[in-house]
Amino acid sequence: MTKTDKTKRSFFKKAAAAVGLVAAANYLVKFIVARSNSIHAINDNSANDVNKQKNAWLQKQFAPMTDNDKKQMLDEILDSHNKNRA
Amino acid sequence: MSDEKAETNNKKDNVDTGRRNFLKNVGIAGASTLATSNASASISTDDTNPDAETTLEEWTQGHFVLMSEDDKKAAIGRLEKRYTAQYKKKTTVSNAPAPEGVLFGYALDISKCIGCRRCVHACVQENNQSRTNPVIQWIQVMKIPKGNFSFSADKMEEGYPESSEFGDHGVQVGGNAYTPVGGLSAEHAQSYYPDDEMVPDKDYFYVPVQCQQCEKPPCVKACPVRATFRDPNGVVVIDYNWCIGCRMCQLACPYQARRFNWGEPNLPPEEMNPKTHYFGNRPRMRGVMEKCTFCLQRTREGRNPACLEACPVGARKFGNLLDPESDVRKILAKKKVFRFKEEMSTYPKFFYYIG
Repeated sequence: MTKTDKTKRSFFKKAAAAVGLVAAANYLVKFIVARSNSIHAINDNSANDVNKQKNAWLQKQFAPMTDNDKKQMLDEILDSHNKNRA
Repeated sequence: MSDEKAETNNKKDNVDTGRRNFLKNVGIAGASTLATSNASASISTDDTNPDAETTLEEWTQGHFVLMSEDDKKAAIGRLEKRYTAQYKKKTTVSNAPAPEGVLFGYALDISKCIGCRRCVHACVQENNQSRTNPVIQWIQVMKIPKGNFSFSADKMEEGYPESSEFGDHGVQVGGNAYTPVGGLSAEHAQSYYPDDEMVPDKDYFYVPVQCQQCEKPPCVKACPVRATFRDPNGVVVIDYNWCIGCRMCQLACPYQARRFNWGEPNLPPEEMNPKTHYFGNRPRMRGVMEKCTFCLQRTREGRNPACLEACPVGARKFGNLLDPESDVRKILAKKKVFRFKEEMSTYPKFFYYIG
């Protein structure tokens, strides 16, 4: 009789621990989702994307192309396109 | 002793039955929850319900390009029904194929651009971009000081390997190697100038930047699920339903031209453009990438992109790179065209020039 009680008790203990764990995980997920869902976070992330673009372009330098450069570039583009279509 | 054993076995059986029952109940509960949610999703096909037809079928649909014609028709039907209900206006989702024998190219005259940003606003309206929280714009106009520009035409042809008295060894001497021909640096550029600022400022160039539609796009190589790919007209497109939102393409893009939907896009129904294309301007969802498609929904019908139509000074030109008589090819042949010094063999099909 004592043994059975012990088994039941340990089962409920495990079940309670599992429920607690699931609840904690659920709470954590909800907390994280709520934070990432906040308008503030969404706007920050989007603005960050735009800034990344700006920073990428700040490092760019436009160089004028010679006729040869242009011909080479166009040939490469058309070759690549034709290979893709083949 | 044997009685004790029998009793223990009996109790063990009872415990097993209890567990079995418990698992059975959990199984039944889970199955009934799934069934209910699935049924409610399938049943909610009412036209007033924004989530109408967001069914298991849409979640499990494959890559659009690989789908059968029947499946494509069904997928488009689902989307049209959903958008019509959501935005309360008859919405069409086209699947018009890419025209044959066309490779789209775009050219922008930086000496003409006045920085009015009408192209930005036209693009937002045409392509159903999120208006607020977050604001998503595929075009960004950079304001670059004119002092950043230097150019000497007489040095253009210098800097190539020359023959010398020691023989032709292909060694570059002089020319551009030591005195660069010049160009335009984007250093100290600004992008957030207010909408009501008087433009153009005589001390600045305005350079609109957007997807460069690379012929060899790194973003396409980076996509682990091939949701983004180069269409037969050379335009890089995205299957929004197949995109998993990993943002690898964004990391790979040297121009940072892609935009991620961090939140559910905010598109007011009255401002929604109901004429859409599956790979173009149809409303996107949270967690997917989006970018310029040269207004694919228009160009596949022989029209010009919205940004080009909106430009009040004719700084934008668009055409078929396979046609030597097209505007873009003529510009490439006759105008002073720029390339990026740091270009990583991506071969952009968006050219900046000075007319």
